[in-house]
Amino acid sequence: MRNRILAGLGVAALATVGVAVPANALSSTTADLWVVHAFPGATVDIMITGAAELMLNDVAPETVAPQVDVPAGDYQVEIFSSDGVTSLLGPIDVTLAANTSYSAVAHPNADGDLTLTPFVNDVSPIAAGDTRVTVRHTAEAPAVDVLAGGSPLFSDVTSGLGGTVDVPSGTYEILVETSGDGTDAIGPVDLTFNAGTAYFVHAFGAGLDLPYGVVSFEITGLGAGPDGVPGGSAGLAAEGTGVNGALIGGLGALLLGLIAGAAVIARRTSIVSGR
Amino acid sequence: MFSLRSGGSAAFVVGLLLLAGCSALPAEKTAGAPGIGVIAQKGAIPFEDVSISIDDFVPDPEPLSISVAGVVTDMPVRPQGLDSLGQMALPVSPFVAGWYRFAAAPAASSGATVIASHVDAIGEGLGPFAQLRNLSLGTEVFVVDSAGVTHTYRVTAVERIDKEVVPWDDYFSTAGAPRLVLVTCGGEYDPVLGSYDDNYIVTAEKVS
Repeated sequence: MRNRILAGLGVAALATVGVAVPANALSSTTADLWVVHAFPGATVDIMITGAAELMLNDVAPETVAPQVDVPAGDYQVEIFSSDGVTSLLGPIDVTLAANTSYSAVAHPNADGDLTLTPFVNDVSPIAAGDTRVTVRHTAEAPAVDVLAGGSPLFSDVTSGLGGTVDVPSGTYEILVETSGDGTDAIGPVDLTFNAGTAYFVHAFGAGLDLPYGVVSFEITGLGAGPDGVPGGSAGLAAEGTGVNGALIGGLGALLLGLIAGAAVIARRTSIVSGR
Repeated sequence: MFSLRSGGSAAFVVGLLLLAGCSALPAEKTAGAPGIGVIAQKGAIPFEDVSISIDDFVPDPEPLSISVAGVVTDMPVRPQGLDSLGQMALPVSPFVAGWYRFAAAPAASSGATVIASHVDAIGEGLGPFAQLRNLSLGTEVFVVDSAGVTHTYRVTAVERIDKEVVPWDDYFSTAGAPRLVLVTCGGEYDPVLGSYDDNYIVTAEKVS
């Protein structure tokens, strides 16, 4: 059946995958869209129609489709069984604003039913040395707390919600536990978060099938660089312009010679006094 | 006690992602698919899973030494962060280079690995990075990391830029093709400030 729906269209499709994914491709007329499959067990087809048409065939659980840059506007998302016939969800109306990065996440709600939640991805600049961690509760589970190194990072996150925080880059022991009773849901596990990268981590799992997994992706290249790079102090490598440069370089070398000489004298002095 | 499932199984994903809306060819509607617009053909393009697994949340091996064909041999490299002024911190000696640990590592799949060193220091003279300004395009650069892997690069640009206007965010970006960026100082020397006016920046593409 799906073949009748999808094949024979005579459409030469524009491939948008298999190339290096830029940090983002946002513009005043387009939005970025990531599609995350966090619904356990079901391989599905995901169809997105509107200002652009996207079809994701045979999408396995725990995968993320590469970001696509699409015209801003209204879209409908429908999820089919992988035979392409049975509609499992939707169509759901989704509006994608310009200059905004989104994740459309297919996942079970707290009752275990397939749902689709659009999240906005924070792709704003990250301060030099920091990392960004976004955690989304997309498992079939009650509210959870997320701890980093034993300290709460996010508290009482209910299904379909998430949070974002910028912290110094490095390795953290991450633990996700059920709010209230403290049952370990994910981890504890040591995870390293690199500077300048935003990580999007989605809880993956259903019911009592503990522990849960995660399905994640990253957006690199958001970090600011340092304010500069210092590079030398003696003036030996000076070039610059004309006489001034040469003169200054010579002065620097002269200065160096004087200081080096003084250092030798000081060392001799200390040797003498050491005896 | 616990385990985490890996984030994906890229090799086994066989779907596809097609953007038919931008096709230059005319599209047809298909009977029997009410409400469904132009879609796609199946099987032409493999769908690429870009999820990252738990195994990706580990530190990349740090660079330990750098060699530049003909001019620098096994210069030690140490990890560095930011100094109190918000600049990249550097080893004091011009004979030791610093690797900026907040950008990419040599083994990373994307981004700039940045290694910088003082061009000279009072009492020590000129360091190996004083040679950077003379490098020819195509010169090979080798970086050995803590996993024992030698990463090979080829010089694609040698630039001298006023320190005031260097676009540092770009040179230190963790996005884009894996590459090596070497930084030191040059240009006019200001004896009052004890510093140079310009930075020399060498960019090298990754060969292997």
